[in-house]
Amino acid sequence: MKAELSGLIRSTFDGFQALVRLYYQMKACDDPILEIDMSRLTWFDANMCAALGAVLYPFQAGGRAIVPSGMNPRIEEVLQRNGFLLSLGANSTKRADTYRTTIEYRRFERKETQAFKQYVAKHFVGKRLPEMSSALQARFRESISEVFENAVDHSSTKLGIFACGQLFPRQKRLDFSIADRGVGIRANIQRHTELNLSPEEAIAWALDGENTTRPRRAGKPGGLGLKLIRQFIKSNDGRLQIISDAGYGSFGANDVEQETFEAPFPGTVVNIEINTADTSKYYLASEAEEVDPESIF
Amino acid sequence: MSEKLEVISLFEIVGDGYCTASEDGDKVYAAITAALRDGRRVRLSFKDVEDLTSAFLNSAVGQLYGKFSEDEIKEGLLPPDDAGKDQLFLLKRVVDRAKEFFKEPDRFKAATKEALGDDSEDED
Repeated sequence: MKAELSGLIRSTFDGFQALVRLYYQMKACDDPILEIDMSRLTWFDANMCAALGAVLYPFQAGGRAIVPSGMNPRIEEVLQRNGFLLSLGANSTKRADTYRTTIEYRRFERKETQAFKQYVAKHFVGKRLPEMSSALQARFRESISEVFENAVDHSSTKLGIFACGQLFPRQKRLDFSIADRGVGIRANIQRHTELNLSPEEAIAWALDGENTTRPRRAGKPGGLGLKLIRQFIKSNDGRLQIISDAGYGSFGANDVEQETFEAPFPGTVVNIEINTADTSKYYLASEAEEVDPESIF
Repeated sequence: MSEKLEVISLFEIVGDGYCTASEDGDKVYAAITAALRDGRRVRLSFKDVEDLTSAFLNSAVGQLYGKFSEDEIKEGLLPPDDAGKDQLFLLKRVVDRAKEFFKEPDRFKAATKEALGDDSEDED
């Protein structure tokens, strides 16, 4: 039995829905070789490799071979350039990132925070991000690392964290995705609170800066992870998407889109979309504000 | 509180300038806790810290407010050394949030209704 990925796979509800379908097709198949027919796939947003990697990796880790077939040469080139095909063990070479548009596909172990930080530092250079003060640039990268940390802390997964991004020069956007195969936001809230929320409610709950599922034993306050990114994205007219369980949330500058997949996505994806046409220069509010070291504690 | 002072270097405890992981923050937290328990005052040194996250600071400093009173912390922790403007701002945000978190447990409980004793998330 072949699984199939077809049509246009973009960073949209429909794109993620297609990956959900792929997951259940593959799950239903017992063959040691899992073939994915891509002959009718006409577009694949390269950042979606993070979510696709999260879907496929456990099958690979379980000793199954993943074999994509019939791939359009243009899509194949993109997936070679970001190293995704290589990660599948496909007979593939890694192409050079000639256009400097690729944020390579990587799977990180839980403990690889440093490697993740180096990856962000390396790949976010020259990607047409809006001009930022150096303090904001540092904080922005730290915030992305916090998304990684949150995935490690909250997902309870041992399968690692998957990341990938892509600059789309014509569409003037940079998309960067971080995915995990953890329990998901809804189950995590349920585990640590008495709240029984729908998948979409759970995403909205987690985005509220006041809410946290930090375990009580650890006794650490949390919840600052996405705040700076959300603020930036709002001003930048970008988009933050969160996919978890059966919930899909897309948070733009002035619009929120919430939908439910036909079946749960097996983990969580955070996709950060930056509008690269933005010519504003950004600073941290703190740069205009002095903090007195004597009155911190 | 005695006048014994201990300078705790984040760089030295973490092993490099990347103060980002909450696990590393826990090591700093343990060092601060030991010093305060021992009656020493603590000055955190941010020298050579290149990257700092709120996840790290929540672990290193934020959780102190669940262990010690605000007065004990104010008395025991001296203004940090060599912290950049932005690092101070982040530290202040984490501290303010931690005070709120631990001062008003009922409000946070109402918001989060955290299940007592369910700590399986951190176990692996």
